[in-house]
Amino acid sequence: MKRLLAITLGILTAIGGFVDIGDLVANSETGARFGMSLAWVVVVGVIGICVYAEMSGRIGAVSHRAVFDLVRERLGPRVGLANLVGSYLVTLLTLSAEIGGVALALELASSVNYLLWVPVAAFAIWAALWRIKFETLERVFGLLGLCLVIFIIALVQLGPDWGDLGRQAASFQPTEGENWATYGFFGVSLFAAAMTPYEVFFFSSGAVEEGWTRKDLITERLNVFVGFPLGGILSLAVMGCAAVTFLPVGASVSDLGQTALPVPVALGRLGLVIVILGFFAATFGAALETGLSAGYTVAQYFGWQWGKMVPPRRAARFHTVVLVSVLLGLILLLTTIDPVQLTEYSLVFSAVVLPLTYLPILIVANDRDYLGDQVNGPFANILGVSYLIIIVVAAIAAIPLMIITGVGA
Amino acid sequence: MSKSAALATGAVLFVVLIGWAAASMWPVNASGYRDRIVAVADGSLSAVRTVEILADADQAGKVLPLYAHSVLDSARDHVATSQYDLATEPVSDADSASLRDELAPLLAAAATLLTDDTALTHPDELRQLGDQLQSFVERHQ
Repeated sequence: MKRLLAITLGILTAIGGFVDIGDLVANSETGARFGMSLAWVVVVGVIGICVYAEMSGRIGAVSHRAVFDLVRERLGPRVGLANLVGSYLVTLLTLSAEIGGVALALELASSVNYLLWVPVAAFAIWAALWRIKFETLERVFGLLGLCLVIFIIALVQLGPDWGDLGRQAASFQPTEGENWATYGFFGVSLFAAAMTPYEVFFFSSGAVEEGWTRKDLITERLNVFVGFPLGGILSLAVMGCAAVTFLPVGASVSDLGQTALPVPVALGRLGLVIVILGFFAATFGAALETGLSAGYTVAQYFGWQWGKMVPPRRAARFHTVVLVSVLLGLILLLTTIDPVQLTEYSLVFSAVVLPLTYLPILIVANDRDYLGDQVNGPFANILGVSYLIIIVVAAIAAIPLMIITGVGA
Repeated sequence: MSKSAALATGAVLFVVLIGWAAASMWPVNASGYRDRIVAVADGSLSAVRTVEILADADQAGKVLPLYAHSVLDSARDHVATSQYDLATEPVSDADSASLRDELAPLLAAAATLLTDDTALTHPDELRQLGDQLQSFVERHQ
């Protein structure tokens, strides 16, 4: 019974923790401009993150070492450094975007400009990372993130023409007035939102933090193969709500207030309160994950003591990297860059560094020295290699599409 | 990473940045101007339509005042950005000037409507203005 409860809790946490500022922004922007015609990208992205998160969790559970720790050892310091620089910079951008998302959620609740909330949010995030235990952080914000289920209820309540949504989803082409370049740009953004690099660092390091062993592989797989796809349904519901509310009137979405609007339209004030709480939990939880991931990547590369399972004074360099990363994220936001634009850039650059993140995982997951009999089977390798090809195509296309479309404008 | 690979990566990044800068600063012709003006109109159209939806929800008692205020503020920012973009885009020919003269009053009307304290009590006016902006976008897209 206790194990069942742990599994259920893990799955619920995975669902609630799946959506972050990147998913909220990319899905609502896409829904408003392309309806459901890019829903297939979310499906492709969710399968991809399942494939690689399972590998990275398995690596952590079997070898008791996190992915970054092994990348340097397996591929050498130079490749490891290229991986570290790309991954750290993108994780930093994402962290900054998440802090901005927390501040925007607070602005929606208070009407006080988000810039005044940014330092408060950054301090709260650092304090939570410093003081609160790993499992508590993961569970509380993952479960509160379930408030975003309100998007599914709102979509049903809006009473859409389901046949029309289905036809949009099966159209695989831009809507009237849009072109293939913007369609491609938003496709890449959605794919990067689903496969954000920090998610695998966090998942694999979390497996080590929580002391997973081979016995936990079933739990790990249930979290990934049940939790993430259900999280993906939340993303599709965000897209669907925007498609039903904004597409018919020709409006595009460019801020978090608009992303929330379909919910009160469908469910009134209670729905509005729940969705704002969901935004707060999703972005705060993701900020914690990205803050930790920034520390994980650097500390694991240099072989420092790391993690929340050891007291801060014994992992001083790890906690210093986390603190400096939060401060850098804060400074970036205080330049007054729009957090939504920052999110768009973070998704593009995530797409660019995706091969640097996922290729090493595939290599390590095939190494018997680390995984013994738990190395990838043929099916996992076929999927892994197929996704690596998609990832490389997305990485090559990301910057040209960003330039051609003016960041999707 | 070898030194030559690092240099090649640096060179590619440099070319990309120069390309981006050149693309954003290159003088526009009439067709480019039209594209930009349509994008400007589209930004204001989204703002007006959002406030229209918000106003309908507000009339039905479905939104909280602080949230409504925040969304309205953001819509005002978008319209102000559209007006700024229109004012700073150089006009190169008579067709472009005509396009600008057609859009300018619509943006001014949007600014007036959204900055009014009672913006959320005029959903019909918002709808009418939204229709005019949508018509502009559709005709010139």
